[in-house]
Amino acid sequence: MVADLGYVALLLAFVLSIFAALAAWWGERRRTRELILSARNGVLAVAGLLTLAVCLELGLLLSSDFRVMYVAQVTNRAMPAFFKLTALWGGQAGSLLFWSWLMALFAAAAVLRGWQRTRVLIPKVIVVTQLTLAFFLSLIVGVWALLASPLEALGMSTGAALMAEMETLTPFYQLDFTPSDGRGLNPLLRHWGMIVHPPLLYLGFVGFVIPFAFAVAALSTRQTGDLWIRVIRRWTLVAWLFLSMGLLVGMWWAYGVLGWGGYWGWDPVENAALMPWLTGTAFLHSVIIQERRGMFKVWNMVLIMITYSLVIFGTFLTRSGVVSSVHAFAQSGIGPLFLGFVGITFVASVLLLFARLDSLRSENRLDSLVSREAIFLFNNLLFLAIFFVTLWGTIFPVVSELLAGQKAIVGPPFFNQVNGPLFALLVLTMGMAPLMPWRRTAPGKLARLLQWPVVTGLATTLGLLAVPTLRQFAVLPGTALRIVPVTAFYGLLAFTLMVIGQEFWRGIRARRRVTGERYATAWLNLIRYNRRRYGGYLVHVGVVMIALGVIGTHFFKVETQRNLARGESFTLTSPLTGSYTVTYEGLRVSATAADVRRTAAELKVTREGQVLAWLYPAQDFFIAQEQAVTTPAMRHSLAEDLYIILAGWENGGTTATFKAYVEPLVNWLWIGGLVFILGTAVAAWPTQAEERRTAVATEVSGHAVTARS
Amino acid sequence: MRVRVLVFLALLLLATLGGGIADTSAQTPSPDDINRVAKQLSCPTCAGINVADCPTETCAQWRAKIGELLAAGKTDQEILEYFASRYGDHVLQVPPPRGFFLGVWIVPVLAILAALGTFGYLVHRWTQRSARPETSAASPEEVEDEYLRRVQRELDTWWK
Repeated sequence: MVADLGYVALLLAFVLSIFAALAAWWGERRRTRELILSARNGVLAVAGLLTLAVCLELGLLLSSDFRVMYVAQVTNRAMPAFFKLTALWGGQAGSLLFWSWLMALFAAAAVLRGWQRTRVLIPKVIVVTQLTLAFFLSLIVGVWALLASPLEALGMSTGAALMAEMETLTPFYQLDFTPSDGRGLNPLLRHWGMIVHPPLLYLGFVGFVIPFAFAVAALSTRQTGDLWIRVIRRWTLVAWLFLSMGLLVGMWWAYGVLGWGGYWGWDPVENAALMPWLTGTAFLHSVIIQERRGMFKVWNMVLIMITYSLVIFGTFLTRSGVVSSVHAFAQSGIGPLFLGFVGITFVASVLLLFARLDSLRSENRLDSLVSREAIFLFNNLLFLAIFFVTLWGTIFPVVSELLAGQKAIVGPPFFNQVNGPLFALLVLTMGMAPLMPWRRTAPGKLARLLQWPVVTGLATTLGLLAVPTLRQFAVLPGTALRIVPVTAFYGLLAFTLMVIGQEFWRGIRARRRVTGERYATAWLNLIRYNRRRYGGYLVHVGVVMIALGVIGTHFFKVETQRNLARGESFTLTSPLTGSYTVTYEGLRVSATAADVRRTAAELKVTREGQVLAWLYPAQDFFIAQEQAVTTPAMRHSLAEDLYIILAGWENGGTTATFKAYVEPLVNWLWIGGLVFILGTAVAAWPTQAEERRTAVATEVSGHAVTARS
Repeated sequence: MRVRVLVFLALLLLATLGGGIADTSAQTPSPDDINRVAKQLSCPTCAGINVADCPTETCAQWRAKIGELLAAGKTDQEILEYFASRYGDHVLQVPPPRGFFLGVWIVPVLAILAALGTFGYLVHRWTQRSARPETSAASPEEVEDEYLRRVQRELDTWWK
């Protein structure tokens, strides 16, 4: 009953989203005010209906109604209520529903917010968002199953079978019987990191649809001036913030839960989330050029179109993970449909772009190679290069299998080797950009500004080269030492940090000269009155900290695997802090939850006779799923983590095998992540000055609502 | 002066490279030796995990095999080739640099070159154009354009 109601809500939302798109389209063409109003109401109704559908699905999950196939797939009776709720995004059908719901809410918010200020764009925004939404809903209302018999009639039996299967993909699909219990959630996902990670990622994905919709609306109505750029700025920042948080939380979860001593493995699903982040970050930077100088207009359109395609592609990949093999891809009807949708929307938007090229002429020229514009262009190409390398590495296994018939795996070494230097160049442009004024640079001024950062950078590099323990430890596993590039990279970070510090210092000094404020007050006011600029710098400081951690763990990580009898110990030498002595004291078995049996090892960690910590790496056995999960134990410090996992044991624990890692500077990654998020929030916070600017842009475009007509 | 700096850097590089060559003559390989090789292999059954980190039974057997081969005095490279020839190239973390697989490396290099080329071309074109004198005052044509645009805008916003 509840499931039927949910399905009806879903179906109505699907029909209404198509209606809203058509009504907005026709209303604009035929100049029928009522149709556009109707389209708007359709958007709001879709949001309401999907909210209802989500609530009903949550009710089904909570009440363990296993007759509903999705509920049986992702929950079981033993699960705590909280995990039952979050199982909404634990499987394919549920997360597509969740995605659609978020999309509907974002679309409704965008339409309501833009109704007054950007009326001319709104009909097309409705068209784009509702068509996107309709596609996602089509996957979970079973309409594709209608294609099964026509395809069968045409003799395409495999296609017909795939489409027929789509019927079961709805989150409200009911079985003919009621299973006594469900399968339950994968134990690895029973962690708060995995609870918040998918929603954050999805908010980021969905968020990027809005700037795309405005871009397409601006193109198709030829309103390619300032207006759309200003309207989407906050939408883009918010989407980007969520995507960044999603990536960071994902890394944190991988590090804390997966127990392999790493946080990023360049696997297709991670890459799928990283790629739109890369193009989105490029977009975020290049729109500034358009705002300030009226340049890069075509480029910005291209970037947001790519980002949109990647967001859809990413949703598909993170949901199904099928890119490693052509065979996996063809096992579900979802793959071809997604690729078809991505292909069609991309081609359509590129065609639109070509049709409107004349309205995107640049208002200004590049005056000099040494200018903010030029370095932003370079930064953009770097982001795109990294994106392309990542895309290539991700799809190469499929390409290779299709074109050459040879299976292949492209693992982390490829990505690290190719993307590593590109990231280093990116840090360089990040450091240089604040020093470059718009249009052109006076060489003398640039030299003066470069003085201290260059000295700091060189001193850092030379200082690190002089540290013998670092030289000894900067080893990639089994290969040559990489001391020169590593220290150069750290020099680059110091340079960048110094540039940002100098920018803050110059601002503070200027404020103090004028207002006579104290240093701390001047610093706070500096940020408060220039949120975008100094928020951006804070983000850059976060990036520097993240890079500190990434390079530290990549080049200076130490690891070992040991089999110890009770009472035995081993030592592990850290490149930064000295040696750890780890002694195995025994095994202990306990029950951490009703369905979890934990086997933990007791480890005493000492240094020069002093006890530093007791660590309890464990294996948790999930009885219902018959699955063991390794739970690492860590000793955190700002310098490094000591990270130990229990790999196995023999004879009830008389001997046990451990893997131990020293992860230098890893915590700077997480601290940097927080700074990064804080900086983005500062930059995205609304300011009055900005509201005024948008109002002016609206006025200039001639769409201000003059009278309440 | 510059030559001396270069010589110094070259020596430094040599010294650091020399330090990286591992001693592989050990008789009984330690777990760390095994992991060093296992890291360069992919788990054949589960996507995206290397053999050192993989908890499956298959990978445990592969690690044991790596241990045997190391004890028999095989080099890392020979062991990787042993697994690749037995199970296929897709057990390697990175495809071997031959035939079609060269594309893994060549395409990104081409892309980066293309990006650099684009950058050079755009900068060249844009700076060239700016060398031409720009008309500062709006031409009559532009004024008319602006007028037409306003008319168009008003037509566009008929429904507000």
